[in-house]
Amino acid sequence: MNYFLATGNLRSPSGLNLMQQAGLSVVADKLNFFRYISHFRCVHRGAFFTEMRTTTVRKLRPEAWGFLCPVHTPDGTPCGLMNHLAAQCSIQNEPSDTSGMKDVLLRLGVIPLDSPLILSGKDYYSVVLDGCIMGYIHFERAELFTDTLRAFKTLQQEKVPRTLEICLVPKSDYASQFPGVYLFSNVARMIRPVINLSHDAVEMISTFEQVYLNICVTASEAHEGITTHEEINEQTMLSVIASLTPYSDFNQSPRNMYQCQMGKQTLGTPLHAYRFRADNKLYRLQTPQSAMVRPAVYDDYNMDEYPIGTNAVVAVISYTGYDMEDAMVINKSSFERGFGHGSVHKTESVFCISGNENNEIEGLDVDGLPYIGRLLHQGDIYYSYVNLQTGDTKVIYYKNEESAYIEQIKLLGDDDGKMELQKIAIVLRIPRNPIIGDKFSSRHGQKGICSMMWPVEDMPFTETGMTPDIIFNPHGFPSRMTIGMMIESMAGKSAASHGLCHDATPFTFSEEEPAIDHFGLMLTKAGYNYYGTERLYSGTDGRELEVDIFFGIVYYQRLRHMVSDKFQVRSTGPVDVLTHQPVKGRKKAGGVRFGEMERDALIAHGTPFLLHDRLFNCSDKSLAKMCVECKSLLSPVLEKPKNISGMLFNNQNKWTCSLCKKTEPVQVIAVPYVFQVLVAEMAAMGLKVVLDAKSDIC
Amino acid sequence: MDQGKDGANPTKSQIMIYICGECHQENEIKARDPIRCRECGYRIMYKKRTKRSILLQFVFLLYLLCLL
Repeated sequence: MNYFLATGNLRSPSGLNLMQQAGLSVVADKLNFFRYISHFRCVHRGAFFTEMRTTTVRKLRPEAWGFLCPVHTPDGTPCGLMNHLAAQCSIQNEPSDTSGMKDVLLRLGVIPLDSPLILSGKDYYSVVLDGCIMGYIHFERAELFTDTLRAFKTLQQEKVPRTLEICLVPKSDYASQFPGVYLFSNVARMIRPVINLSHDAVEMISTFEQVYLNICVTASEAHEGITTHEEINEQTMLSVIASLTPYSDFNQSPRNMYQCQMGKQTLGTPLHAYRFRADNKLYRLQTPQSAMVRPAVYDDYNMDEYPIGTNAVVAVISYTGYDMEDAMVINKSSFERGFGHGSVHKTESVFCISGNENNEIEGLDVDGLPYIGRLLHQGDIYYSYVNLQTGDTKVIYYKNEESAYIEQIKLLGDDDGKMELQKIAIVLRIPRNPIIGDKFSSRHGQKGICSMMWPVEDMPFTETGMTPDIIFNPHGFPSRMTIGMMIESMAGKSAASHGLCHDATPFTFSEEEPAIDHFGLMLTKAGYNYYGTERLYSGTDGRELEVDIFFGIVYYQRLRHMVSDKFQVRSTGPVDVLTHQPVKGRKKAGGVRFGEMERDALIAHGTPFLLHDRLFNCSDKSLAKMCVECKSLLSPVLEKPKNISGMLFNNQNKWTCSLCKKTEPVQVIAVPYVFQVLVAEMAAMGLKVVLDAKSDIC
Repeated sequence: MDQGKDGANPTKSQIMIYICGECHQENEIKARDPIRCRECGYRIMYKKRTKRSILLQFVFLLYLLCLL
């Protein structure tokens, strides 16, 4: 079981008749509330369907409405295969009590199976409960029967379970599902609440019956005599995360999908018990704020306890030139005040520890452990322990490239509390304050990379002297059409000036009462421009900018993709043992591959020297001896030095061709080291490599 | 925070003071002592934050330099 949960791999000889054997579990990552909850509300269609060429499996069908969120699915390969349950949707996990059902059915006119056969067969539906035929009901009575049963279910009468699925598949002239009355009470069904209009009560419905019900979204859509149910509100189709996007009805739908993805990558407040946790890695946002513009569900989920961002003053202006192409400029002073500050808490468990005996080690406490609060750099002394068998003291040095503070050290006693210290947990805190290259995003799928910490004195300022925290490039708006972000900006501004929190629930505004007008009027009341714009003055020379700048407050999230985890540089460094070529991989201080396509580009540019430099000099250039006469790379051998001085001084080394027995034709050539490997390997297979080299090659 | 006396102990006694994770009682634990709170028997101990001040050392160094 542990193995299964840790890897998601199924090890069973039969395969348990499942479609897939791997990837059956995921680690519930506690990065923030969004990520944590969506792990538990995620539904994956299965690995088999990812290879399917058709798109039909990915489509959202009528029975999925209100059960699966149409917004909260990733784009790309898993699109539509990995879905998330709508916020209201739940799964029935315990079987409901159906002991009284038979009585109810009989009283409602179902002809039982053991009654004398009166039916001509054709005019009757069979009534099926959980796959068992309970009896028959006449066509004409079927509708009344299901309606009554539904009334019992909705009003909790007559021992009809609340989660019973009642579905009448009517007989029709068209091709349809097999006609009959189907009742389901068993587990593993998705259920969700809707309002039953005839009883004005909440009814739990399930996927199969939903297709045969007439559910309107709002009362205005209801058709007299047809509509039987109404959605609780318009947002019921959305998942927990999608419903937390403010004004999502104003955004282009892919942007809402992006926000659903990015919300799950945000640094935030995953928990409050940092002190007592021993997670390998915990991210933390040091200065989170409660969102001023929030949908109603924000409070329902108590998101204020787990905030994931900061209210930032955003100016939509192309100002510094450092905000092109999704880059954003951050006010250096707001950064210094703590904007987006965060840290990573890493816990390291150390075994085989015993307190240091008698010799104090410089830089460590008397117990051989580091001082709490100490800053560790790479190569610093980390901790020490005594090997009880040998009595030796072993000192461990801090290896990580990133400097960290010792946040906490826990001494873990054994289960009986009788053994001496054998295990400790060291919590390291790595400060991760924003730097250039870190990723941020608003709640509207508008991500950006911090490109510069702009000094506040050079920032544009308003008439009141306010400077923005973030400069956002206006070119981010036209193509992405995230009007929700603009409205959030205006709403945030009016919320800040009036001291309110605005409701950003989608579908609250309409054509008749537009959001822009609502917030525009509020802004006018606060003394601002109706359109949310402000007069700005240049930060460099103080001149008034000709254009009014859209200026407001947007809730910004800090995403966990940070340069310090990703940067890769190499001038020279480790090389592969076999080929002597630079290794790859960020961890090993390797390089970025100069691949075939890059090679093609250099050839096309006609820059052979650059090509030669990249692929030869900077890679595995080596000097090898070859015999020009027998054209072999392998035949030259080093002659045994005649005396001790020959051994000591390399310049007296004498290379002779072992085949020609001559010294003169041995020449030094520069070849890639892999080529030497190739020649040796060919020789091992009995193949001779002949190099057609001229003697004046060098 | 309370001001316990630990850290810069000039005598070479190996007593360290740890804080119990359950009752926050300060426990003196010598090397090779079992890890267990004397009050409540809890078996996770927290190391106290150091009282060593880098600034003080720096000031002391400066003072020495001035003397020289």
